[in-house]
Amino acid sequence: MKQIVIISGKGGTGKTTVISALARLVPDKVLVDADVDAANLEIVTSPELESSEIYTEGEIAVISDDKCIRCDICRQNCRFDSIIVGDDGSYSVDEHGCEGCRVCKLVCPADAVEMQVMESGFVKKSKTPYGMLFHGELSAGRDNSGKMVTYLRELGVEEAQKNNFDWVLIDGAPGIGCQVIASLTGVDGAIVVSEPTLSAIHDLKRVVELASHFHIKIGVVINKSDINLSLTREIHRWADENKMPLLEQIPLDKRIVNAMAERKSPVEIGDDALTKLYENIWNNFIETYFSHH
Amino acid sequence: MIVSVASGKGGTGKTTVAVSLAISAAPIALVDSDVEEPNANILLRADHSTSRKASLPFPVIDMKKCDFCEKCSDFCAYNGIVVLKGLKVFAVPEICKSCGGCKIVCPQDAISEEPRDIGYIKFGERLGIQIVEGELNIGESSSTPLVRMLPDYFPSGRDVIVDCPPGAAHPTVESLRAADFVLLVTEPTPFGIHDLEEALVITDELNKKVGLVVNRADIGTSDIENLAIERNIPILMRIPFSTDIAEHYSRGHSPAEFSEYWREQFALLWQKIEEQVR
Repeated sequence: MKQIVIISGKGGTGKTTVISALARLVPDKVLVDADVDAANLEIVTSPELESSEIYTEGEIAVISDDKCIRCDICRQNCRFDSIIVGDDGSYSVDEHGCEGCRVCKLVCPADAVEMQVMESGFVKKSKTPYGMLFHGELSAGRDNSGKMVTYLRELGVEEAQKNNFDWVLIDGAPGIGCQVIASLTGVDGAIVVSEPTLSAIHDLKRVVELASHFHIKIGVVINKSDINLSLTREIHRWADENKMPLLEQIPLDKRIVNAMAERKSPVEIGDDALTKLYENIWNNFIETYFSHH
Repeated sequence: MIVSVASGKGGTGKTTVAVSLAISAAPIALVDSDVEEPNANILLRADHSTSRKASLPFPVIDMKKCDFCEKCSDFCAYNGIVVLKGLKVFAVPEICKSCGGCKIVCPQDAISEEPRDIGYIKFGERLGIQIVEGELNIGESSSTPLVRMLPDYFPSGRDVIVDCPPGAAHPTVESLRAADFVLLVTEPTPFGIHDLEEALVITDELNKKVGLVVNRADIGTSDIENLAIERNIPILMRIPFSTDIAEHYSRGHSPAEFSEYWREQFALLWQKIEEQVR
């Protein structure tokens, strides 16, 4: 069983489009959406919810107004600027900013601070026509959760092992932060989806530098490849220099945009030549790195 | 006036809109708070005249004073302090959130703090736009502390446009906190709408005035128009799907830079925002 993550650095380059196609093309796999901040894989996989659990992570501080003597010591010691003084002089905690460090509780001379477990969202298991999907839902405003991503991946791996499946396909988050780090740790391969724009190339290089710390097998897909052919060639060259296979390049095609808007994958458009491009992404990746011959 | 440009979903055109708006509203300041993948200056192309390191206080343990009482590691809510009894005590940079708690609990006064670099804040100017850009070091897991530092560097005496990170998590909250108005850039797809609704949870909670820019307005569904009516949010601009804009963008040129028409349109957008804030 191997875990493959789809990442990009920059948002909107086509991660979810690629994985929506792979969901339909790759047999015997489990799907995991590791972008818990903007979970979009469910939009294109027609999931039927099987179970959902409240996800708790960490704590936040709560100040009891009865006990608070308004000495301001908590506010002076909070490194996260998360103690709010109201217009009436009362003290409270900004639950977005609070990191649950407990320093306010430590320094409070009036014992007015209690820690409360924080519900940070949901973890869901759904049945889709393409296999089981594990997806999370981070409550808006919570700190990005690498731990939720790790937990979703554990659930996905368990499900794949139970069924003797070969693959866990993971839809990654944009950026290079903790969600992305948690989706790269211990995976077998990463398909990086980029596009020939200066911004996407800049972000591609940053996320590949991050991924290379984890010694992951990386393949590159160039989406919207005809927007700027010279930059497409530049990505080619850069991938060659860094010994990463270019898996496929996919031209800008309004039919793909429209299909996704209708919650369909590009391989459902019914254009064999287009479907072939997405098959090539997977086949080239597997043949480069995971072929046993 | 501070205007934050956010979206929920990545790749809807936040940076394109933020930079174009800045060009049309100059003189102005532009702050890139998408510190994981800062792209605003790829479109602005200002020379970085100065930059400074951004750092957080990081605990350092004086082993001459430490008596291995373990109070620091017991207190650390993140299990970020390792105690090797009789040998060594140290904090783990990837885990430490710089709360300062270990320093307070240490009865031996053995813990001091030293700056640990997490990224850069870069400064530059072009086309009458002062840019302030946060850039997180690769491998740092949390962008929030760096995002939180940026308002200290907002240039005084100028309006500010903040280019926010994607998503609706804590770094976005911090990027919106100071805003007088939040411009949400979305696209009329189920993905755009799904993530926009997440962003609206935050703007509601922070009690922010919001307006929409619908990018690639002629693709996909009309649900976005319904959402705007239902939620009583003004649509301040519609940008059609355009290979011309995409091609210019690919080379690092924003619509307001290459087109007189779009420069005027973004000037109008700025006027509309000013009217909304008034």
